[in-house]
Amino acid sequence: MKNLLLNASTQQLDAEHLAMLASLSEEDPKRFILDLLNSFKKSWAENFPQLKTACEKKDSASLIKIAHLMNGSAGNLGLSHLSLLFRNVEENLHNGTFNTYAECASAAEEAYRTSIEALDGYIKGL
Amino acid sequence: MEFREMKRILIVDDDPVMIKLLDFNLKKAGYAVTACQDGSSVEKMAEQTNPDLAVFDLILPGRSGLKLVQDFRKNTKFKTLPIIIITQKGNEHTKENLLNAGATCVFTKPFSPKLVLQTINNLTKNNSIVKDYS
Repeated sequence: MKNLLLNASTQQLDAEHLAMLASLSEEDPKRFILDLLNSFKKSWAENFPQLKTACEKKDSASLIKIAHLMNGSAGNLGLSHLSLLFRNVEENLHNGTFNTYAECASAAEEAYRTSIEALDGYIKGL
Repeated sequence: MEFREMKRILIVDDDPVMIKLLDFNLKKAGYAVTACQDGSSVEKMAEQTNPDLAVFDLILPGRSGLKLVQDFRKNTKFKTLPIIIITQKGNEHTKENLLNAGATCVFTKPFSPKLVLQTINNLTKNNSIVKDYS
């Protein structure tokens, strides 16, 4: 089973991916990445309560869908730490080794908080 | 002045970040974009917007990207519509199934939006590479 409590040294952001995103909007990369971030935050606000419920009910079918969506969405925004956490959840659920329902929501919430903090810092620096 | 009708792209993806990313890139390149997040009502949207190309995520609520491709190819109106699939499941077996079902091409995440745009440019401009999948 892959650990959800990722090492603190796990890279928060995928700098190469973020540079690619910034290059898509030469006129205003800051605004473009902020727009993407706002979409992600909105999606998180909709999906996190469902993730919590799925963890409480040990509903693996719902959890796998949310983990898949969040893995891709976080990856598309260069949030590598958060994406990796959800990839691990998804893989553990797929291979039947997932046994961290109790810790999953809080680990995800913490990873979300630190990832957003890191991305906010990146955007300010643009 | 030459007037050209904007090519229409239909995007189906449950990830709003992905939709925004593709939407931005495609609109900047002069395409008209329609998007939806659910696989269940795609045909209705496609009938209304008559797209020149569609981009589907593989895993969707309502209906999978694979099933969407299969259903689109059964519809005479969309038999030759170029369909791009974007997926996180990049293994050869998945790609083979998608291409056999009639997907025009498959991109695995993480992908280059510029490469996707280039592919869309080619597929919407060059009708000779659009096959009949029936």
